[in-house]
Amino acid sequence: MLSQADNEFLTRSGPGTPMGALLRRFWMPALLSEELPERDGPPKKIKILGEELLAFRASDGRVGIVERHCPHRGANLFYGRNEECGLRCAFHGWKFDVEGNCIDLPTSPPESSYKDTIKLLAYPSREWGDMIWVYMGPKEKMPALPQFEFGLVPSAQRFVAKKWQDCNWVQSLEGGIDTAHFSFLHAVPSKDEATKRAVYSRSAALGDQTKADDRIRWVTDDPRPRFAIAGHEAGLVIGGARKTDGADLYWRIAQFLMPNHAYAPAAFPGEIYYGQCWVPVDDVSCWIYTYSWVPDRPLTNAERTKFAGGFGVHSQVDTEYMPLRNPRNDYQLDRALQKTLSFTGIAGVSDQDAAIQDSQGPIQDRTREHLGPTDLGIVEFRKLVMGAARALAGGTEPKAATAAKRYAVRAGGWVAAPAKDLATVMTERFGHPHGYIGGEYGLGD
Amino acid sequence: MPLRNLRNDYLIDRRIQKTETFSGITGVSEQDAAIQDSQGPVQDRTREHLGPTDIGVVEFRKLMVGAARALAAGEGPRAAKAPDRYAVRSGGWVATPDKDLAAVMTERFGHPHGYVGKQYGFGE
Repeated sequence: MLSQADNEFLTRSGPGTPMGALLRRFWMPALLSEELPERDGPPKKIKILGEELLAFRASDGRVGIVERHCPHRGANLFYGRNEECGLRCAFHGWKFDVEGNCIDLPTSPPESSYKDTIKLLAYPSREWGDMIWVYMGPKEKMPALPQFEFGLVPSAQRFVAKKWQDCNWVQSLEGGIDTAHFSFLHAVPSKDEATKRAVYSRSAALGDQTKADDRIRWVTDDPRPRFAIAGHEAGLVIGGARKTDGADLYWRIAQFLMPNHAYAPAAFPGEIYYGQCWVPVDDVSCWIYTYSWVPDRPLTNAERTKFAGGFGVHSQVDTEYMPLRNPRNDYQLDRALQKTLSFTGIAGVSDQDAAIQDSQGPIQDRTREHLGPTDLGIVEFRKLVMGAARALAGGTEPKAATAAKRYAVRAGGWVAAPAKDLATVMTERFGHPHGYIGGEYGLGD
Repeated sequence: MPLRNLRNDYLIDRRIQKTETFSGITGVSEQDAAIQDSQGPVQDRTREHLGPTDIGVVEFRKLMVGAARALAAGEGPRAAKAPDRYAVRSGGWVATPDKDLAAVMTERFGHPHGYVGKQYGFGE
């Protein structure tokens, strides 16, 4: 439970807010690369952290992310011409490059230096991992790109997508690191094991197994995972241990990576890894960038088709990245299905998550919540990000922003003897207590 | 209601913008509407940067703001009491570079302000 003031502090990210300042110290996905497919193509309107911006791909392939309104008389550059390495205003022809420099001001005499005094607000961008990233903080604090493994592997080994969400980014992220809800929200209430497995296999990574085991049953049968949390330079390891048939524990271990990424906890060795990144559009909606990757082989076309059709964190979306199942149609909740094969009656793990997270309200009222032992990850996440935002307001920069290589981690599942603590389990599963695998990519120890 | 409007991005056609028109929007009126709407519901003039080609906008604002201020102080706008003086024309002309605006207007319309009221029985 948070006070109203703390809830505001946690959830508001517009210009001038403490949490907004923290988010602006990190690189954020702004677009998928596929959204700006061609050089000199149409600029795209985007909104991030409450700021209305334009993105355009210039003649040389570089991407500009700039404010929308021309400094001359405020016309929207969306209607402008993207040509010859710059965006030209349709009103009087003022032209700007990807860095916001005014490179032509045809309404002033050619000898005038007025042009050199004109600047369009532009944020630095990078293209990496089939995404376009933006940095919206102070230029002198701009860090290196965080080394997420999906960006380190070749393009053939990753799948990236995005989906719209109609609620504040924090409660949606909290859903992502809350691995306890899998026993309910995504459950298949059928008594028949084969049916259960078939339904999971269509929708959830938990059912997409390379070897037969009993993970589905363990998740269903133990709704009270015991949580253990370990902080590291880039975020938190969030482990939840459930009972198995014997004495061993089944661990599902997620990662929270500062300030807005979370990795899913399902993957056993050899399986596909999944992550998500929540980018606030404003305080009541966000884009969720979803990504999957494999360290050691290309994804198959069948896997890509499955992801694009809605699987695990990936939602089935239209050409504007709007989920087909959304609050306008009650997520196509099917009450007959809810009686038989689906705990929610909603198709798709991603859409089950979205339905519940949206249902918490545009911004969840955390003054009325009642947390319990399975919410430990959420408590630690809030402590971490609110502490970092307070520290930043007090002049202390977030350490994670400059720990780019510490983002090269994995999350996943493991079965271990009950005496083993989280660090031991992580070391067994990943070779490192925090799941660091940067060594495989030449990033050092 | 214009068929090309804010709700449909004025049906901007990026292919036509590359080849045929500067804006990609059909119709001068809609090109104007698109740009003017795009300045925002109320343009934020605290952030504008005017230049020499904006002198008309500057003088327009001076005139209107000055008249509104004067009216607030009790002095009615003179234009409201000069209905004949709306009988003017505007248009184009080609003239030698030494001629000033009044001379050009007189060449084009027979009057330095383009007044044509005499043709309709109004005074000088």
